[in-house]
Amino acid sequence: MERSPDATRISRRRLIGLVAGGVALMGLTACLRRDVSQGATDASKPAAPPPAQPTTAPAAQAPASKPAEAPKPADSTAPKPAAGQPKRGGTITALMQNDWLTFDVALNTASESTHFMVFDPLVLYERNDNGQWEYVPGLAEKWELKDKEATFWLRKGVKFHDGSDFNAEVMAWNIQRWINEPKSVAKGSLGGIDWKNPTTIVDPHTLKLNLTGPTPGLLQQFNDPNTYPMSKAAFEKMGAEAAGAQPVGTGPFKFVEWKKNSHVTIARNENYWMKDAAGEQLPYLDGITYRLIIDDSVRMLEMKAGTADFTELIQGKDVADAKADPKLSYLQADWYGNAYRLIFDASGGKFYNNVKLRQAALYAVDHEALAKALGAGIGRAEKYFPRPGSLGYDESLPYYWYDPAKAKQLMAEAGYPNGIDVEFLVIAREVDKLQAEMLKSMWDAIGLRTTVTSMERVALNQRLLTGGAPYDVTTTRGGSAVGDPDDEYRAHFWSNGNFAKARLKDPEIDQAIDAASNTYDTAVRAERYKALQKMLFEKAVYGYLWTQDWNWVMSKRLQNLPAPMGSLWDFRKTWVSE
Amino acid sequence: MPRFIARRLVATVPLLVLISILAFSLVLLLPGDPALAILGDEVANANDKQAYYALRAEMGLDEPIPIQYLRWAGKMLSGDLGMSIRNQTPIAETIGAKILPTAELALLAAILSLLIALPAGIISALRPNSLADAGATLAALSGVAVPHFFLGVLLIYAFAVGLRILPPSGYVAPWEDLGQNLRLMIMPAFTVGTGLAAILMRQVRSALIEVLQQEYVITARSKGLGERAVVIGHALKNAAIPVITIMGQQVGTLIGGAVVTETIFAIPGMGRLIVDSISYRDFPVVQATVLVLSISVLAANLTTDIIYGYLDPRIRQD
Repeated sequence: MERSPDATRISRRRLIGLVAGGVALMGLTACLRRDVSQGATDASKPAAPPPAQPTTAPAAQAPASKPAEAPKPADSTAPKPAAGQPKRGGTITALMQNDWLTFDVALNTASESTHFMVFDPLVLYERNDNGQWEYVPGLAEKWELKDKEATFWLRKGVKFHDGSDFNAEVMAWNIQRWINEPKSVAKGSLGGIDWKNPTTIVDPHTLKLNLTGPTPGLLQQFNDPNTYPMSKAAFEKMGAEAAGAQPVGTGPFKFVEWKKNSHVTIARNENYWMKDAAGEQLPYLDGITYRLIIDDSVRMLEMKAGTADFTELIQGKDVADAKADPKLSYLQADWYGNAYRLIFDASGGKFYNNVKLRQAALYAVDHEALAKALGAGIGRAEKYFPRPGSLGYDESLPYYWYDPAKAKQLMAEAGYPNGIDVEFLVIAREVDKLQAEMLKSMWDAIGLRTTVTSMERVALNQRLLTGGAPYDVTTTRGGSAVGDPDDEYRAHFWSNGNFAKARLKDPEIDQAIDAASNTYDTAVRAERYKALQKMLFEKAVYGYLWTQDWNWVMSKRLQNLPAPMGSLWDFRKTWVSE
Repeated sequence: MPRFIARRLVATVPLLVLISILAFSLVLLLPGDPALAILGDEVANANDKQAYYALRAEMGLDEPIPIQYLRWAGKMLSGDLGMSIRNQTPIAETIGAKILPTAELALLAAILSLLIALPAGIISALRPNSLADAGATLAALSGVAVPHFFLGVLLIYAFAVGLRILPPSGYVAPWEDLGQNLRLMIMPAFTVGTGLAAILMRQVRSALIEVLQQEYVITARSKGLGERAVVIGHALKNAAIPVITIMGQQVGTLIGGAVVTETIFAIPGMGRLIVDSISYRDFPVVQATVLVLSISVLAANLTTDIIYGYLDPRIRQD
């Protein structure tokens, strides 16, 4: 039966009614509108602190090691530390990329930015007005490093947030715990210390560390987030689990709240030991809320919306936007970044025992193309293993650079004039896979016929580190900073290194690494690191591809924020301008 | 009806056992050692490997898999979901905190999708092949085609950065601040809901077109009933059965969509929990979460069956 056209007809009034329903939904949004700059975590805003109280001023610094010279920031629209009158009060919101696991630094320091504000290190690492990074007093007022011992004179009058004293006995207890705790990751930061007899308490505020030999990286170790001392009294009262969830440190801010997968709130420590140049109590800020936002684009949108004050690691595509925004400052570092490196298996696989084949692969790599394409404006092509400005960095040292003709010649000399098939293992991350495809095209061009196999990170690292099966070639990504390079050389190239994916069990290299770290004489050490780099160049088991500079975006209302070292954002002396 | 419900309940028991075996064993097939994932490469490979072996023993990874399963299943039956290896917190507590944001997101997305799909589907069905139908169909196809991550970022850009009428991301529980909760949830709910709305709209349209051609509808019209009474009172109830089927089936999709959406909008929900737990090989959390979500999907399907039985008595007789 044919339906009357009128039967399915809907009147204009009804249509308008239906459309109005949709509009009403949007209207609900508008009705609920209020000041969005309050963000999502206003309920947990810390209370205003009581008036400042006097504390003992820090003693004059006495750095014991020569600081590494660092170049100027690569690119920055960030304001210099403000010379204006500091303003007390106000809270800020910082955005984190990674979730917190625990505040027990012995076990993990994921999202260490927050740890850095709740705890203090013995030694702070700061960039001075000349662009040099130097160790300055933290909880230790001064120190003395000798071949078999290191003495730290601890700051007097410092109290933990629970009111208990910070002293040599508490510091010794912390060190013992970092060594004895079965799941301790802090042990990795205690190299050079005699673990069987690590400390001697000289007096309540003087602690002697017993060393196995000269340990030039010791100051760096006691700047590391794994070695921030916690309150012994709180630990014994609360137990390990609670101490890891409700940290009690000596830092400029006290822990208030940790809502897992969401945010951490900290409030001003009104009894903090540090004062500014005018003798005023620090910190200036009332509190900080750290919000977890995993997505890079959304962190940038939060900054643009004015709902956050600080974040890091924005993508290259967003850099121009950050620089153009009149409310934001942008800072990019060449003192810290993520280094992408190429690794050949030195114990088996197709490249094993064939240095010319490895050299052919290294000469086929166009570093600048990788940095440009993958770095999206914040990448830099790398020639060397250490960061520019690190001890032993020398541009006159030999390096591998794009030379396809030489690469082809080396292929023939290596015994493969007609090419060879190799497998390239990479982590299934976006950048790693894109990088692998670019490297494959470069290698295919010289007859290094490459099959890319991507694996999930944990699975690949297990195969390379704990598994024994040989592989051909892989890539790795890791933090790279100016400073003492011992840790990094040791992790990658030492026979028992924690990150020894190259499986380079080479006594000659081991000896060179040990030799470079068994003296406090920086000139001697620099020469030894140069010699080590020459040896590594000749072995050709590593390729230094490119580095993505670390970057930060901050609201212009933040004043007096020192240059951050990676994720260690120091808000001790920061104030807000409004 | 009670017998019908009881039959359905009994039928879910073997399914639950099967799901528990799958939830337990599938995560063990994931490549990569969980102890290595949790400790990180450098610590796990430290010289003495002490931390690595201590963690493996704590996780019970040195025991045979059947023993691990029996121990786990026994705990699940007694309501003990265990402890997270990654952050040493009770899993029940963690899931309890995460399930609400996800449930709220799924519920709001479902409501929003119905609010969009029903009127759009009815208009399309009443005026097939008209301009309104073409417009609604185009909108529906766009809803399915646009990925969640793109739509989410687009919404943030428009409403938080551009118009500044909504906060970009975050989560506040409804009992802490209901207004702020709704402001924070409207964009995520829209992001998740558009895909479902598109599917539902097409379903409402086709079901209603079919029902409107049935003889009882013609009878109703011939009795002089108004168009509203015919469509809402008579046709829509029968057209609802396939729509409810789709809704039931989409519970899993809603939760799946929540994984991406929760990441974009920084909502601390189940989606993020699963992804993080898999990345860190926090097996007890993955296993418990998969089990809880599977039970949720089973419960949704059971509810769908019961609604079927209510809407169509013939189904109860099967």
